[in-house]
Order: sequence, then structure tokens, then C-alpha cells
Amino acid sequence: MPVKSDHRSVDPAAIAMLKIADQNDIDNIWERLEKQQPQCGYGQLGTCCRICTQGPCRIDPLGEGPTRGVCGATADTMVARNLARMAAVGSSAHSDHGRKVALLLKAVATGENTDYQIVNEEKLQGVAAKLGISADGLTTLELADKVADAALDCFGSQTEAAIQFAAAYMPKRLQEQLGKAEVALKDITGARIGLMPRGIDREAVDILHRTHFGCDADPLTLVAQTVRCSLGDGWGGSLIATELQDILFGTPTVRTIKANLGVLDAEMVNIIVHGHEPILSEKVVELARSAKMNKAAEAVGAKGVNVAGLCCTGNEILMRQGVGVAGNLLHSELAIMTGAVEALVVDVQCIFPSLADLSSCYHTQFITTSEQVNIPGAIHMQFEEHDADKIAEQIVQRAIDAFPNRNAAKVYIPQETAEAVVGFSVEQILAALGGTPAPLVEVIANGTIKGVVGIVGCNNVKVKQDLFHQELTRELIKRDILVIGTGCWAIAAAKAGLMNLDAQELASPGLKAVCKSLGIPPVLHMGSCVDCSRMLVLAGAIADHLGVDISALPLAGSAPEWTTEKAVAIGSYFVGSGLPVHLWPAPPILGSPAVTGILTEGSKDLLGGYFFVEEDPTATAERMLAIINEKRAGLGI
Amino acid sequence: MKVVTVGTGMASADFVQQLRQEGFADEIVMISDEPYAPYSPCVIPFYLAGDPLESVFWKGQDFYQRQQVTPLLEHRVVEIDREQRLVRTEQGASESYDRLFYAAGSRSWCPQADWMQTAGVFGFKTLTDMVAIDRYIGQQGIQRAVVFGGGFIGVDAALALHHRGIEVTIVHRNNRLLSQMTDVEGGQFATERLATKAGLDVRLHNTVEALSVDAGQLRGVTLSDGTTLDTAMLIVTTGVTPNSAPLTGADDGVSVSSELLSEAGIYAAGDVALTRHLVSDVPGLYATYPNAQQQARVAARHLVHGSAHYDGSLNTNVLQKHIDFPIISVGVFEGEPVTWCQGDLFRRAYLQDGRINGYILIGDTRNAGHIHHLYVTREPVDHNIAEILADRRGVSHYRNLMQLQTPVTV
Amino acid sequence: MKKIFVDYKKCVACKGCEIACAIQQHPSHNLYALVGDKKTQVNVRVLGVEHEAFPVSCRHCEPAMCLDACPSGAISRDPQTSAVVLNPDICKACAMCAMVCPFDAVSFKQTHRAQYGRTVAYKCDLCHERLQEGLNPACVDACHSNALVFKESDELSNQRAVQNLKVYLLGDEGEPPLFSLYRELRRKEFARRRSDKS
Ligand SMILES: Cc1cc2nc3c(=O)[nH]c(=O)nc-3n(C[C@H](O)[C@H](O)[C@H](O)COP(=O)(O)OP(=O)(O)OC[C@H]3O[C@@H](n4cnc5c(N)ncnc54)[C@H](O)[C@@H]3O)c2cc1C
Ligand code: SF4
Ligand code: SF4
Ligand code: SF4
Ligand code: SF4
Repeated sequence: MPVKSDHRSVDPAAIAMLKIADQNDIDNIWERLEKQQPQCGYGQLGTCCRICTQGPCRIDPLGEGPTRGVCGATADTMVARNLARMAAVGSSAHSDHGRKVALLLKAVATGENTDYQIVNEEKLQGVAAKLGISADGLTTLELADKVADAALDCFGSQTEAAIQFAAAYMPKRLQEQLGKAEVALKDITGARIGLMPRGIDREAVDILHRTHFGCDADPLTLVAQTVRCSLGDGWGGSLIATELQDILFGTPTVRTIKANLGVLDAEMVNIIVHGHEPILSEKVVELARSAKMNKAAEAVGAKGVNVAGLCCTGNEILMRQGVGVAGNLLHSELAIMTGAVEALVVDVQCIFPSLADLSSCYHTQFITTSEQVNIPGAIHMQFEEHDADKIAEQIVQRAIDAFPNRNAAKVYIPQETAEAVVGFSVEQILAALGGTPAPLVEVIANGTIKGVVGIVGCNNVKVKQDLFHQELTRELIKRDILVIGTGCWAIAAAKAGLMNLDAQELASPGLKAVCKSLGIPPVLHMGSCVDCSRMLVLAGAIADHLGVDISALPLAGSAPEWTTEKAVAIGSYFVGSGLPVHLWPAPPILGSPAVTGILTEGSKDLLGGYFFVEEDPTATAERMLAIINEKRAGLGI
Repeated sequence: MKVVTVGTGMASADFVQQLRQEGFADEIVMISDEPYAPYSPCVIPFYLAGDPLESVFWKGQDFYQRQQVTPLLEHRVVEIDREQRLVRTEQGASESYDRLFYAAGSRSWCPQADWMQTAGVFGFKTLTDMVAIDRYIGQQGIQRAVVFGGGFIGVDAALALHHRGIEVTIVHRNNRLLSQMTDVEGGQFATERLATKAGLDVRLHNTVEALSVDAGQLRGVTLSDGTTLDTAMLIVTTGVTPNSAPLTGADDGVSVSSELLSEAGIYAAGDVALTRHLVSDVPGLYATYPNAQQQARVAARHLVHGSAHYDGSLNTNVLQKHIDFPIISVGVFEGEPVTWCQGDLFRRAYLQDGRINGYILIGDTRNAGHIHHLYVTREPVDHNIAEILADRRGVSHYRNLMQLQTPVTV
Repeated sequence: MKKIFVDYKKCVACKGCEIACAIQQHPSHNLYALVGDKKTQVNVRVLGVEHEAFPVSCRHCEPAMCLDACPSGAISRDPQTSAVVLNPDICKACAMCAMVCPFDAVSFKQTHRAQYGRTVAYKCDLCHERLQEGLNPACVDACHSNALVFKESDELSNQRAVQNLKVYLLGDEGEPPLFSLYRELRRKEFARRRSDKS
């Protein structure tokens, strides 16, 4: 008996799996959320400080209790420090991912690593040109070495100048706008406050220093550094990850994939790769497709080896390899519950520690591979880039070995899948447009398309899974707004069929006509969460084309169903780049009137971008349309 | 004015305490066939299980002194002489009274009266029984025992003995233990857990048919299904009989008015009293402590002030001694059943006209007080009973009080 | 007599009261000794009721249903503070009290006070020992946002209070706008999460 609705998810596959979870009393994230109720308000408001051991201190939001921490910190200071730390962590996670790609490019360039190659020379040349590195007389590897050095320098640079990637990729007008904001900040605070990132690592460390006991207490300067650090992520770490991955693994091209748990195949050895980086997963896909491994799979009675992705690792390999994606964040436990997953192979970020216990109830091999992610109960198979082929083979073999232990009685794979046209890198979008943003600008200028909204997002168990993603997307495309995006939002949209060409029918007539003429869906998958940098680059290209600020463009961003500190960094670099950004759920800042004011109002004047919170998808779409119309009016279109 | 109580049990002790609280300063005599200070029969199984004897004296061992009472112990009342206002005892004493409080409770009923003469066969009602059982276990080194009768007291007895380390077989006529306080499904759910979680050896659809006795000493029992069990100890908990004969001439309870008077000058209360049910109005022997206490208090107030009213009795039972899964039973199991069951929790309410007629809660006490309140206040619950039964965290009462909406979920 | 009043709208769900109570009740009176100690007794439980939080503890009813139901003489009223106090030495864990407590204020486990190595009932004792030293109940002192207030309760409301929690609830007072916004957002978040409509 199929259950049609469930308060936990709108995804039919999830609903089917949750029924199984309920029947068998399988612990899951929704259950754990219930068990955590009620959750602490101080934490939700951001007014709990654990920075020194004189604390923890809490500022009662009602003004009944103490209004200052032991050191004298106010709610404003605490909230701002906590927020800054979130951004530092989020930026670090993205950027450290970028660093690994840069190090790999360096190793390939020097010949130290031969398991990987330069796959996309054209992109290499493009990146070099952008950075002002002359390719004259250099071999591919020599050029790669220079690009890798330039990237690595962005992490460790110790000068006051902006990092090379930001300086090269960020529109000049945005750089000027940030410069003006620096002056304004100096006028207000008297302090020299920079916004252009000087070094990716440095800006994160700056926050760690600044928020140490007894340093920065001013919510304004703390928020400014939050933005600076985040810009170092968006125009630095994440951008480097995206660009160099394109060099090493290829720039995504348009292709059709399948999304949802139905990509698992009951007759094959199923390997799910989960996490964020393509370095390992590319190899797993390569090996899984090899004749040798498929033979080995047949030897244990399977039809072959099937790889599926989850979360942003899934996005990386669907964009480049066309591998099906099993789901987004809230699918990670549900995937194991299908009983048909031989191995869940993870790298970094967004891996629930609960997966270890859950896997142990099945034959699933839960394999961690990064020295940064160790989970009690998991099998750790340390991944080494220089030995990638061998380790990937061992991992695939381990999955094959587990296949005979599969308990057929426990297998249930919900068959719902949707097709999605994916792979919209900036290069592909421009190619579809004929090599220049002009046609896009034109349809925006003549009002056929009113504007563009970029959505990124996780799943958040506090929000019904995918509901906000789907509804907001549907409402936007109904309003002549082209939707682009990344991360777990993109998987949600893919699962819902919104990235299918059929989805053109859901779009307003203007948008539909444009999509039809270009042969694209009205909802474009731009990649993983580090690929939010692609959205920045696209916005920059349009702004440059028109010769206006990004903040003047009819664009907006949104992070519905957001969960992680990475999302704080993304939201902040969007805002820092001049974009209005919607959030739901609310961030932990409402305990501070000052921080709330700065982020929702003050930043408008200073940066052009700002945050707003809205819990209803339709109301959010309306608000975005109003913002877009306001910007259009500003542009006189 | 001189007051005499027949019995020093729970009703009598509460009665005397209330009299003193209401300012009654005259003479009080309390008569019991047992040698003890007032004790709580509900607690006495714990003495067998290892708790110290003092802990059964729920109002303190110095109760008689504190309340300035003259106890007449080890005297069995056999006659009430209404003409002369005298209480006569088997031991030859007679005690005059102005007001009599009759609360002689009940005694174990045994299908074969002569079994009780056999060494090793015990009832399970009084502290005298417990002391005898305890001594016997010690002397005989008892390792295994048979409990005949799987009602509340039988299960209580079996669990206490089990807790003491004795292997217990419980024999019960019905298709489930606790058959009087459960419906079929609830009772079977409870029985299964009593067997698996509490470790009782349960023999259903069975009775003890015969004893094998050797020189007056029990050696074993034969069950109706033919099984024979070697045992030197048999606890008979097949039922109780109210000790009403000295007052009424028959052991079938004492009818009382809403002032707890059985006749002018004589109050009756506790397990011996026939009272009306608070909800159903049906008269009966509602033999639990809270009823005894309320009755005793009303009687005392009536005696002192000349007016007081007893609203009625409830049949509320809960068994949680020695186990971690309370079995709660209230009311009658008639009407439309609404059930929620998950894992080790079983909750069922019977509705009539949208109100709770009776309920069974097994596994936890989370919502018990809330449901009890809804039952007693006769609140219509047809719209939300399913949600209340399914509430594992105990939020429904608070949600109600905070006037929050019920979430719409599937 | 003074009682603990609850203004749940001010409850931030920080569970500071739970921790303070656990420390107060623990023989060590030390937070670090509580960690991993299964016998720790917590007499107040912050219950999530939809988007609201409610600190649930004994209301020290007058008359108290639990006291009247206890067949062991384990529950009594402290003459000085009017607290309804449960003596674990006498308690047999029979659950008669829990069966009738309208506030779900009685719990069971083997606490540090359980003498005979078995489960006993436990509940809030109004910190009557602290009260005798002139202190407030530990949970009240721990609550920074004044969701718990220890104050005089008049005779009349005592009588109404037995089964009516509302008497223990304090009235609305103005709250800071951002806090109202926070509560409103939480309400919406819960309503959406629980709702089946899509
Ligand atoms: C093992 C067991 C467990 C129980 N558990 C619970 C429980 O958990 N919850 C609950 O609510 N109830 C329980 N009960 C029932 C509860 O104990 C009785 O409802 C309560 O004791 C009734 O009080 P009473 O004064 O009427 O009778 P009792 O307390 O039994 O007192 C009767 C008194 O009368 C004396 N007596 C009897 N005949 C004579 C005579 N002819 N002359 C002089 N004295 C006489 C007896 O010695 C005794 O002192 C339990 C009972 C038993 C036996
Ligand atoms: S301490 Fe106060 S605010 Fe915190 S949970 Fe307890 S009652 Fe609520
Ligand atoms: S709240 Fe419950 S435990 Fe406390 S006095 Fe009232 S009935 Fe007793
Ligand atoms: S559980 Fe303890 S306190 Fe509660 S009624 Fe039973 S003996 Fe009394
Ligand atoms: S009054 Fe004392 S015992 Fe009761 S909940 Fe508060 S801290 Fe705990």
C-alpha cells in the first residue's frame, strides 16, 4: 500500500523508506530530532558563549537575567563571534577541499602523481589566461605547475594584497564597491577593515584570532571579517576547487542522468560515493566501469558494478561522468535501508556519524577514506592520491566481496527516479548562448525572463525534505525567473523532475519559450556546493557585459533547507558580492539586534547584498520577484 | 464518646488518624487478630523479597502511642452485640463502644478449605501470612514454589518470591494472567511480558487439582492438565472473601450508605464494604487502598462533624512491584475500544458516548494521570483519544493546557 | 506558601533547570560526577510541546492525589514548606501515585536514594532543604529567563490548582520584538514540519 504523504518528506522514495524505518523501528535522523526536542533557545538565538572557561555564558533574550557574559561580552558580541566562527569553519571546509585539488594539480604537474592527468587543457589555458599567466613556450605540465602555484599561493599568501584568484575573477566594479565599503567602515569604526581576502587560510585564522577571548567585540567589524573570510571562500577556495577540478577531470557538459534511490540496481553490486570531493569518487567510477571489476562482480553472482552518488560527491560525478544520483543529504540513511548497498564510500563533509551503526544492521561496508573523517564503527581505508588506482580498486573489491552477504529479505528499492538534464557549467551555458551572455542579457532586458535566482542548499531535518526546494523552484519558474543552483537543492530539483526538459511546461510562457529555443530545462544544475563559485562567475560575466554592479542585476540567492556552516560562508559571500539572499531556517543570530540589523539592513548600503528570512516558499518567490522588479526598475528595464 | 475499630488495617489506621486530625480526643480502641502495628498489605510482599520488616508499618511502629489508641491485639472479633454495644472476641474479651468502625478486610479464599491445614500451603493476605512464609522458606530452604491463582495478588506474590530467588510457577484458570483487571488482548500482552521479562513460569488454562502430601507436609501438586510439579510450597491466591460475618452473619460484604454507615452507630469501610462505583454507580467490593482511605476519612469526618459524603469508589489497579512495566487497569472494558500498541507499550481505552469507560495501560505511566483525570471528569475524548494514547512523551496534557493545536500528521 | 510558577513563554529550553536540579539532588553536588551516572535523579524535565518548551515538575498540589494514593506512607507534606515529599526509603515503586498524578510528575528508577537496590519513585521535593536555608529552589535560581518563578500562592488558587495547570502559568508580559520573532519563526517551523500539507 503506497503511502502518499508524510510530514517528513515530499519525496515518494523517502516516504516509502520511512515507512520501512517506522515498521522496523530503525533509528533515523527524524527520530533523533524528535528526541532532541525541545532544543536550547540560547543556541538557536546565538547567545551562548563557550569561548573561555569562565563561561559558558548565556544572555537571556528576555532581558530578565544577566545582559553580559563574565568577560562583559554582550549578546551582540556573542552572536557576531559565533557567526564569524561558523563562516570560518564553512570557508575552511570548502577551501581545504580546494587546497587538495591544487596540491593534486601540482603533483600531476611535477610528475609526482601519474594516477591522474590533465584532462582539460583548454580550461587550463583559460584559467592561466584569467590569472595573467602566459602560456608561451610552456608545456601543458609546466603551465599546470604555474597555475597550481598561483592557486596554492592564494592559501598561504602573507601580503596585504588580494589573493590572485579573487583579483582575477572578481568583476572590477565589485572590487571597487568593496573598496568603498572599506572606507565607509573606517569612517564608522576608525579601524582599518579590509574586505578583499588577503589569504584564504589567513582570513579564517583571522577570525579564530579575532574571536579569541578578549579580542574583537564590535558586531560590525566581526561581521565585516565574516564577509571577508567568506569572499575568500567564494572567490578563492571554492573557485579554485571548481576551476582546477575542471582541469583535472573535465569541465561539465550537458548530459542526462537519473536521480533518486531507483538508481540502485537490485542485481548489481551497488557502491554509493558520498561526501564532497571528486578526487576519490572519479577513481571509484573509473574502476567500477572497468572490465576487471565487472568480471569480479559477475563471479559473485552480480550483474556488474553500479556506482551512485549522494550529496555533492554525487553532484561532481553526475556533472562530469553522468553517474546517477541516489539522493541528497536526508537520503543518506534511507539509501542504506534499501538493503541493497554493498558499500557506502565517503570522503569529507556531511557524513552522519549514525551511518556506522545503521550500516552494521546490514551487509553494507561503510568506508571512510579521509584522514579528516574518522567514524567509530566505520572501516577506514586511507585514500592516498599517489596510489589512487590501487586504493580505489581495493574499495570496489571490498564492495564486491560484500555482495554475497546481502540479505534479499531486507532489500527494498523504491523505483521512483526522475531524469535530469545536468552539467551546466558557465562554459556550457555560454556555449548554449552562442559564446556570449548577450542573448541572456537580451531576454532579461526585454522582460521575457525577469531575472535569475541561484539556489543552494542542504536538506535540513527541521524542514520537510525537499518541500521548500521544490516549491520555491516551481514558484520562481512560474514567475519568469530562471533558476540555477547547486548542492543538495540541485539533487532535490533533479529528483522532482524539475531539471527535465518536460519541466519547461511548468514555466511561464516567456521562460518556457527561451528554454525551448535553447533546448534547456528552466532549472539548471550547476554542480556541487563549491560550484556556487560558478554562479558568482556567471553573475560577474553578466555584470561585466552590462558594465554594472552585480548588486544592480535582477538576481537573488537562496539557501532553503540549509544546515551547515558552509552555507553560512556561501550566503555571506553572496551578500558580500552584492546579492540579496534568502534563508530558511533562520540563522542563529536573532539574539542580537545589532547583528540582525547589520545582516538584514546595514549591509544593503554597505555591500548591496543582504539577508532575509522567509518560511513560506510562495512568499519567498513573491519577495524575490519584488526584489528583481526593483532591480529592473533601477536598471531602467 | 468511645470509638472501637475492628481491624487495624489500612482503613482503620486512616480512620483513626483522621479522627485525631479532626480533633477527636476521646478514647479509641483498635482490635486485630494479628499482633502488629498497622501495616500496609500492599507493601508486605516486599518483606518476602528482602526489604526490612519495619518498612511495612506505613504509619510508623509507634502508631498506637502516637495516636493515643488502646490496641487490643491477637483478639479475633466474633460477635457484635448491638443491644449492649459490645464487641466480643474469640479470646474472651469484650469491648464496649459508642461508635464502631468495622474494617476487617478480607481473607484468602481457598477452593479446598482443608488444603490450608497442610504444612507448606499458605494464603497471601496478611503480615501473619508473610511472616509464616518467610520462616518456612528459611527453614525448608525453599527453591521452588507454586502460586495458584493469577490475579493481582497472585502475580504480586509470584513476583516477590521470584525476586527472592525462588523459581515460581504460576497456575491460572483463565487464558491470561490478571484476567479480572484486563481484557483478552491486554491480559495476553501483560502475560507474555510477565513470562519473558519477569521470568515467571506461567501455566494457563490450568488449576491445581490435588496436593501430594506426606505426613502433613506438602510434597507436590497435580494440575488439571495432568502435570505434576514437585514443590514444598503452594501459595493459594484464588480469591478473597470479605470478613463480614461477625457484623452481618454472612461473609458477603457490608452494605453502607454514602456516610459509610451500615447502621446507626456502626461504620464500615475498606475491603469489607460494599460501595457504589463513582462512575458506573454499580455497587461492589472495590478493594483497593485509595477507596479504603477515602471511606475512612469520610467516616471520621461524619463521626466528628455529623456530616460527610462519600462520592463513590474507583476500581483502579496498577501492578508495578518488582517489574519495570506497570500494568494499569481502570474501569470496565465495555464500549468501543481504541488501541495503540508499539513495542513494549500497550494502551487501550474503551469509550462509551465519547467518554472513557475503562482503560488498560501497560509499559509506562507516561500519560496515566492525564487519562485518569479524563476518565474521572467524564470529559468527551472521542476526538483526541487516539492521539493521547499514541503520545509517548506525555505532551498531550500540556498541549491541552497550553492551548496549542494538535499537529496534523499522518 | 510559596510555589514554583511557570511562564513557559519565557522558557528558552536551555535545560539549565534540569542540570541544576540534578546537581542539587546528586550526593556529590557536582556536575562532573553526574556524567554517565545512571542513578542521577532529575526532578524537572523540559518537555517540548510543539514549538514551546515546558519545564515539567511536581506542582505540590493541595490536596495531592499522589499523597492520597500512596499505600506505603511514602509521600507526605512537609509542614514548613508545604512541599509534597516522597521518602524513597519507604517507597515500593508500586506506581499508585504515578497512576493518578495529573502532571506526570512522578518517575521511576534506581536513584542514589534507593536503599534496597531496586527502583523507587522520585519527584521534585521543592528543594525543601534549600528553602529551609533561605535559598530558592535550585531550578528557579538556574533559570535566567525567569520562566520559573518562586512566589507566594494564595489559598484560593491552591484549591483551583490541583488539576489546573493554568493557575501556575504566569501572564504574558511584553517580550522583546526579536524574541517574539524568534518564537513566531519556531512556531512556523514546527507547523510546517508537522504539517502533512505540501
Ligand atoms: C498482597 C496484596 C497487595 C496489595 N496491593 C495493593 C496495591 O498495590 N494497591 C492497592 O490499592 N491495594 C492493594 N492491596 C489491597 C489493599 O491492601 C486493601 O485494599 C487495603 O488494605 C484495605 O484496607 P482494609 O483496612 O479494608 O483491610 P486490611 O488492610 O486488610 O485490614 C484488615 C484488618 O482487619 C483485621 N481483621 C480481619 N478479621 C478480623 C477479625 N475477625 N477480628 C479482628 N481483626 C480482624 C486484619 O488482621 C487486618 O488488620 C493489596 C492487598 C494485598 C493482600
Ligand atoms: S532553566 Fe528556565 S529557560 Fe531554561 S529550560 Fe529551565 S525553565 Fe526553561
Ligand atoms: S503534581 Fe503530581 S506528584 Fe506533585 S503533588 Fe500533584 S499529584 Fe503529587
Ligand atoms: S510508587 Fe512509591 S511513592 Fe508512589 S505510591 Fe507507590 S510506594 Fe508510594
Ligand atoms: S524545586 Fe528542586 S527538586 Fe524540584 S525541580 Fe526544582 S531543583 Fe529539582
